[in-house]
Amino acid sequence: MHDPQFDVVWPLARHAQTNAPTAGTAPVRARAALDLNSATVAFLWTYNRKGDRMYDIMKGTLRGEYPDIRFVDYDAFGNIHGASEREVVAAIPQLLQQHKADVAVIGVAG
Amino acid sequence: MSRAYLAAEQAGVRAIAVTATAFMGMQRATGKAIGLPDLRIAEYPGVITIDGEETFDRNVRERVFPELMERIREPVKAVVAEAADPAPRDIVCRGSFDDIQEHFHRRLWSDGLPIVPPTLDRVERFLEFTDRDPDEILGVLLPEMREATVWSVAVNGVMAGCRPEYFPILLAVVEAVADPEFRLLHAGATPGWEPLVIVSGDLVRTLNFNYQAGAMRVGSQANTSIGRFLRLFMRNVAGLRSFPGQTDKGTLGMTFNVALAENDEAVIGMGWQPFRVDRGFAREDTVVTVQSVVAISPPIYSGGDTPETQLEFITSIFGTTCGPWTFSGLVYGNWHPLLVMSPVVAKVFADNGWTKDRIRQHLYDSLKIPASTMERYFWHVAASRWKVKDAVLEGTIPALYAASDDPDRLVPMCLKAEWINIVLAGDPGRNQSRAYINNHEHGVPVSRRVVLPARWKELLASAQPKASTT
Repeated sequence: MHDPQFDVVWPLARHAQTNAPTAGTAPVRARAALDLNSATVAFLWTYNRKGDRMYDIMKGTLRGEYPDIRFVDYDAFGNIHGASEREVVAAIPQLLQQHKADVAVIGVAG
Repeated sequence: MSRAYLAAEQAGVRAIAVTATAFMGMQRATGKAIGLPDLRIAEYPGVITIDGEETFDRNVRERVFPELMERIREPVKAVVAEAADPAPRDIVCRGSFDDIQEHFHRRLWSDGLPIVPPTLDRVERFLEFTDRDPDEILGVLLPEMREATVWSVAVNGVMAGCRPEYFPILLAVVEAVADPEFRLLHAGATPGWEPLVIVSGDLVRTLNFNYQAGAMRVGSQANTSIGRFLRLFMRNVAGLRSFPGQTDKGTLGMTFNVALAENDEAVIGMGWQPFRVDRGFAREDTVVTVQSVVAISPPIYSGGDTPETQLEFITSIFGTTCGPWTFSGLVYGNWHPLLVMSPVVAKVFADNGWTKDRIRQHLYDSLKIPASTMERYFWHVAASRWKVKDAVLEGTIPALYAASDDPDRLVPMCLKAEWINIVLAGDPGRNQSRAYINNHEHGVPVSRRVVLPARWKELLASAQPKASTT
């Protein structure tokens, strides 16, 4: 006895073209190595999981190694995992550009 | 966090995520889903909420910081998106029933149970039950940012074992969860909440939903397959896959809820308005509401023929089920608990002139919790130093929550009386209720009217069961 055969379709759905990258595009552009001596590092935070303590340690160590480094604190952005998450995340690109940030440290998942 | 990361990268800023070990897989899976397969991560080796200060500081200095520096210094490689997805009508697998099951299980396209093979003819039969275009996009679902189309609803409806005539309800369900207010993207958060579909209206009887004894059990085809459908759809189209290393980080999680159907005869018979009218719709509509459920109370038995005796344990067990997790409602300014009452319980209230609003107000006035209990619990959840007063200062909750400086002051568990929902279902001959607690702003109740096709009656007649008992 032969089992019946089934031709089946895909249960997923295509990625949205407006947000996700389409084939062949590059959402992350190549960049050269960074010189931290003159860099600006922004800290974005979920306002939990001891991120404030973690960032204080990072900033202290970075400042010791790179005296001219600049920081942008998480309060400049707001809680990226709070009641206003959507508005906060939407404002990130503009704020990073406004502060001329070179690096964004984003935490903390855990 | 991945969306903040993506926002930084799109602004041309080098982003580095800080993530505890257990969340690395989820971060990478989410990153890949949104077009960032090479997410740069500095790993915290352990469980942040468990580690003491000495261990935490050492881990940050000796493990997280060196990785952060490495990620900062290394050149950034350009990322190119992968090849295009299959078209809706493409055949992705041909084989026997067992072959199809294996193909779907291996790709995490199933939920661990056998699926009905989604063949073109079955999908097209579903599509007859709507006047909408199969390519119509109902919303874009996170975390994978896929387009929820009418077609994809039909495919997953077939797989879940739904009947074609349920299709108008499935479309309303997806429209509800695709509403940004529902925040489906957070269904993979650690509390592990599940959506609950509530159906109110004439279609409950037309489509043979069970709204009486055992209403919330697996068993009835309508209740069960619609509940299963939503979980499959979340898995396949939103991309919330519950398997280690995937996007779902529910610590323990819960099984899917079967759809809850309201007992229309009972609620109207005692002079109360049905749930769909509570939600702002017309009595003649059939309305689907979807909300999250993160906790379910034990059965609440309530005796006596007065509202006061009935409320004795309804109030206390409702309150203990909300418990200290109430803090999350305050943090996010959303809290929508649901009370499901069997009709005989509701009738005691109705016979004594009580409305649903009066029950809501009683629960709001009675349920209180010390502010310090919630603050302490948030510390356990996320090592947070949050205070109830912070939410008042941010404008998330009313000033009455900071009425004094006493850390043990009693504050309301429910944010608004009108946010407590009441639905009648269950055995009409037994005096029991249950509380279903939603997960703050994750999965707030969202309702949609069910829209039937022009040929509904004709289609419904053609969909009657044909199985023989001989």
